[in-house]
Amino acid sequence: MLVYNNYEGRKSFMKKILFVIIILMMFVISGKAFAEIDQQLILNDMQMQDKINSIGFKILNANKIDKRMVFVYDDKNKESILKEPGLTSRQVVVYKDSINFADNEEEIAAFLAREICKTAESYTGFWKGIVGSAQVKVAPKKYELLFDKRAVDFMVNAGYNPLALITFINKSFVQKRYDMISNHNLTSKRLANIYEYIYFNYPYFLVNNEYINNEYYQNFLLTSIENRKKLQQKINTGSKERIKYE
Amino acid sequence: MSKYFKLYFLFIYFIVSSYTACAQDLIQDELVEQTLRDKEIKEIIVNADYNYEDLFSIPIKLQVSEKITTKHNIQEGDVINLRVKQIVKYNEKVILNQNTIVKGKIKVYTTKGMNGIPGQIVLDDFELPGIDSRKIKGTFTKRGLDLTLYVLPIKWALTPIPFVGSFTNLIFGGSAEITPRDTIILYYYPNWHK
Repeated sequence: MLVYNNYEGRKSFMKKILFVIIILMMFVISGKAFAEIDQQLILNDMQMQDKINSIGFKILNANKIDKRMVFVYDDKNKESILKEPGLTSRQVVVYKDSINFADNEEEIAAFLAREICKTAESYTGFWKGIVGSAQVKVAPKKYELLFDKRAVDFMVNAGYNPLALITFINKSFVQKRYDMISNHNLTSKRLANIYEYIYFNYPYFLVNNEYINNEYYQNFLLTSIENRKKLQQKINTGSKERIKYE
Repeated sequence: MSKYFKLYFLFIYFIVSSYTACAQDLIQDELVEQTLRDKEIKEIIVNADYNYEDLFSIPIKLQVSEKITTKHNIQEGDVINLRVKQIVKYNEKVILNQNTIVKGKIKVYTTKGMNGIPGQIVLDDFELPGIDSRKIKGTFTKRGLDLTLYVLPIKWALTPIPFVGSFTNLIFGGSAEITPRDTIILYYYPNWHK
């Protein structure tokens, strides 16, 4: 055992003890802080999962959709063209990257309504829906517009404003140059089709527009002037032909 | 006029003028202003107070009055007339007579596509006289001739040979048609809504 008889020796020993205590305290505090952060992240994930479940099942019930599906919040992986959990395992997966664009409950509902529509399609066709799912996979461009429109119906029946689908898509989907050989439609084309669908089916939301002061909706109005002129022409002429939006 | 009253007046003027300036900056939807503002618009019915406990239901058989097909241009949102095929009774009381006209809507449709993908029509939003639409279950979907079951395996078998798999793109599915011969069955659940 070390015995310090002189004052300098005792002082140096005390310094070492103090240093060890400080290092130990730092470990304890940082460990606790990390644990608190982890706990907070888990709590946030749980809250998000809870919110998605509540909105998702509300849409299913309000629309009397008698097809089973579940909702999963995924904050680690990214959406991929190869993965279609909605079609393969009837799971509506909400990726953090996608849902980050949603500002309010209506925009989350917009995202979910679209995915519910896609997942419900996996129940149609031969072999318990395998063929129906394959059709969606083979011709995603064709079904994209169908899902957008049905999502509007689902939102309305569940009490959400369908204009949230416009604001959500407007801020979260890129605008490509061409869609001739693409698997997806131009985002501007999708938005114009949704707008036309709301115009003919749910004009109530356009006349009593709650989104007119919304920056993203205003941006949609600004960027869709040409497409809306085409719609105006269709309305004025009473034509039933599908408009070729840009 | 007191000094404070002038300041107060200036403050109010500033608030009102800045608000109107902001309002003028907003883009207004002229299409809506010109074409919808004076029209009578129906309120939206939200299906919020549901209770799906009850199992008792009454089938309602309908048929369209005219053929609807995706070959010709149809408009999503168009109201169509349907006829009740058989008399509908509930508690020994007639609730729908035969040949009663019922309204429905063409909700969405897709045209036939490449690789044998069929066209489809979805009918919904049925308005049956004297029946709450929230107690009706049934969306009618009709598809055309579906060839994907045969075309897709051929496509995938040919895909390893460059460009050959794409030839199946020339095979189209059938257009969807709803004729008066088709029976559209809806289910009326009298006790579903709270």
